[in-house]
Amino acid sequence: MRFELGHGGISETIRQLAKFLRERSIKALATINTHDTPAPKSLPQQDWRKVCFPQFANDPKTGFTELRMQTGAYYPTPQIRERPRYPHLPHDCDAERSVTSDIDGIGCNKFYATYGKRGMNGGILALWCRHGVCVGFHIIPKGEGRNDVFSAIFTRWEVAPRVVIYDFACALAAYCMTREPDYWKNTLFLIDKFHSSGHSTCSPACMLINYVDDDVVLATLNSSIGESGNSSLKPIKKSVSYMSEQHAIAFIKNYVSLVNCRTCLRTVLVEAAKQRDLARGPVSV
Amino acid sequence: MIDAVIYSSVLAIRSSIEVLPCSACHRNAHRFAGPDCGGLQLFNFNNKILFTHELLNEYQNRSSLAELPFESFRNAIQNTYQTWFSEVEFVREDVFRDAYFGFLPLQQVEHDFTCPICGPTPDEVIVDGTSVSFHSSRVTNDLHPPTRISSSAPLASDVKPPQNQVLVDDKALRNTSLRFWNWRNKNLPLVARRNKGGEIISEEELKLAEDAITTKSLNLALKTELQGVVTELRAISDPLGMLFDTHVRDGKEKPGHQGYMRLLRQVGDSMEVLMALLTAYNSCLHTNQSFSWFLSNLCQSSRGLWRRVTMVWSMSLLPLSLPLQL
Repeated sequence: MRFELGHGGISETIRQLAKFLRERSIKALATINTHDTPAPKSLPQQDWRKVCFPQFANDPKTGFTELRMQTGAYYPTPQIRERPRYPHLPHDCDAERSVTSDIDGIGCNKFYATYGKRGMNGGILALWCRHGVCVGFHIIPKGEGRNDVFSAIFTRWEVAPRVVIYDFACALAAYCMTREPDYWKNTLFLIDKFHSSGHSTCSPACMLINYVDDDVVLATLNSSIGESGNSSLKPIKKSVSYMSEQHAIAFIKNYVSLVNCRTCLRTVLVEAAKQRDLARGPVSV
Repeated sequence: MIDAVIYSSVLAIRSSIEVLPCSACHRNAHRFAGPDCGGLQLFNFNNKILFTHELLNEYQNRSSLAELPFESFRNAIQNTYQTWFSEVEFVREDVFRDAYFGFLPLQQVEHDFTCPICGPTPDEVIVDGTSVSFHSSRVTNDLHPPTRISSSAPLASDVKPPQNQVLVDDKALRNTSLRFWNWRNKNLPLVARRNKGGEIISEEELKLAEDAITTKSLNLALKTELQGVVTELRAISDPLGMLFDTHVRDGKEKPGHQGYMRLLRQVGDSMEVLMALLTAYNSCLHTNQSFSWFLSNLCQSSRGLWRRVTMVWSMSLLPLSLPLQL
C-alpha cells in the first residue's frame, strides 16, 4: 500500500480485489452468525472457600447458601453466562491441545505437549492483564484446550476483550468464531512473540509481531507476561504436586494473590511515577 | 482455663486460655469454645495450640520466593527453637500444615485479582496454561471449571461446523497456486540479491535461478497448469487472477513485488478467511480512528509484509458508512 500510494495511488486492481474480499467475507460471516450471544445474567456467585473449607458452606455469616457449587475457578467477577452446549459440533468439550495438523482443519502443525503428564491433572489456566496482574485462573481437570480459554472469558467477560494473546491463538480464533461469532467479532486473537516462530505455516494475521508497527497499544504490550507469570509459579510447583485438591486450590489462590499484590504495588508505583513526571512537565535545560 | 502453647518463629511460650463448654456439641464430648485471639495477632488452632500470625506469614512469604515444603520449614523453625533454648519443641509438620490451611481463609487481600489500572476484566488478556498440578487421582467432582456444562446451559443447536470459509474453496487450486507461488518466491529474490551485489553465489546457481524464474524453463505441462491456475483464479476474482498473472506467472520482478507476493501468499492459505478478515478489520477499527488515519499509519510504517494484506482485508470489511469508495 505504501508502494502504491507512492506511485500514483491505490490501483484499480487492488480496489477491485478489496471489493471481492469484502463481499466474500460478508457472505462468510452470514453463514456462521446464526444466533445472538446469550445476554449476561446474574448467576449465583461462587467462592473458592466453599470447596477448600466446607465448614464455611451454609454459614449465614459468610452468606454461602449453596454448598460447593462451582469451585476450582477463581475470577474476581461473578459468572454471568453459562457455557452453552453445541450438540452439532463434534468433540466440542474434549481436551485437544495436542492436535497437530490438518486433522481437524486447524492447519497449524505446531505440536503441543499435553500437560496432564505422569498421572497429574491438567494444571491451571491463568489470565493476565498487560501489567502482569493475574485476573483469574481455574484448575483444569484433564488437559488444557481452547475450550478453557473460550469458556473462561465467555462466562466472565460481559464484552469480549479487544485482544486475546494465546500460544495457540491461530486455532483459538476459529474455535471461538464458530461458536459465538456475535460475541467474539471484535476480538483480535494473536500468538505471542515468543511462540510465533513455532507456527511456521500459520497466517501472519495471527502473529502479534506483525501488528506492532501499526498499533501503539500492541507495540507496548509485553506478550510474554503470561510466561513470566507462570514461571513465578514455579516455587509452588513441587509442593502442590503432593497436595489434595482442596489444599492445592487454596494454596495456589493464596500464592497468586501474593504475587498480584506485589505486582499491583509495583504497577501503581510506576504509574504514580509517570503521572508525577507528566505533572512536572518537560525538563528545561 | 486450660493450658496452651503459643508458637512463634523463635520460641514457644506456655500459657493458659479461657474457654467455655461448647453449646453446639454434646456435653459428653467435652469440647470447648475458645477466644479468637485475632486481636492479639494469634491464630487459635485448637485452644491448646496457638500460632503467631508472624510465624504463619513467615511461611507464606518464604514459600512465595522459593520452593519450601512444610517439612523443611518445620525443621528450620525447630533449629531456631534449639538455638533459643525453647522449652517446647515445634509442632509436627502435619499439625503446622493443618494450621496453615486453617489460617488461609482468614486472610483478606484487597483488590484481589483486579488490576488497579485495567480493572477486573481487562481489554487485553494474555492467556497461558501452566503445569502447576496435583495428582489426577485427587481430582474430585467438586471441581467446577468454566468448561463444565450445567444442566441449565443454553442449547445452541443451530451452530454447525462452518463450511465454505476459505477464500478459495477449491483445495486443489489453493495448493497448486501455493506451489507456483513457492517456486517463484524461492528463485526471484536470489537473482535480485545477486544483481544488487549483496550475495555471493556460484555462476551455476545463478544460471539455475535465472532459468527458474522464467517460464521458459518450465515444460509444456507445467506451463499449461500455471495458465490454468491463472484462469481459475480469474474466474473466482478477476483482480486476484490478474495479480497472480503479473507477479507469479510473469518472470520479471516488478516494483513492489515482495508486497504483492505476500498478499498472494494469503490467497493460498488454508486459514479461514473470515478470521483473517475480522482480525485485520479489528486491528484497524478498534482504534476508533478514521480510515485515513489507518491509511496514513500504513504509509508511515516500515514493514511491508502485513501492511498490504491488512489494508486490503480491512477495506473489505469496512462498514459502508466509512468514507471508502470501492
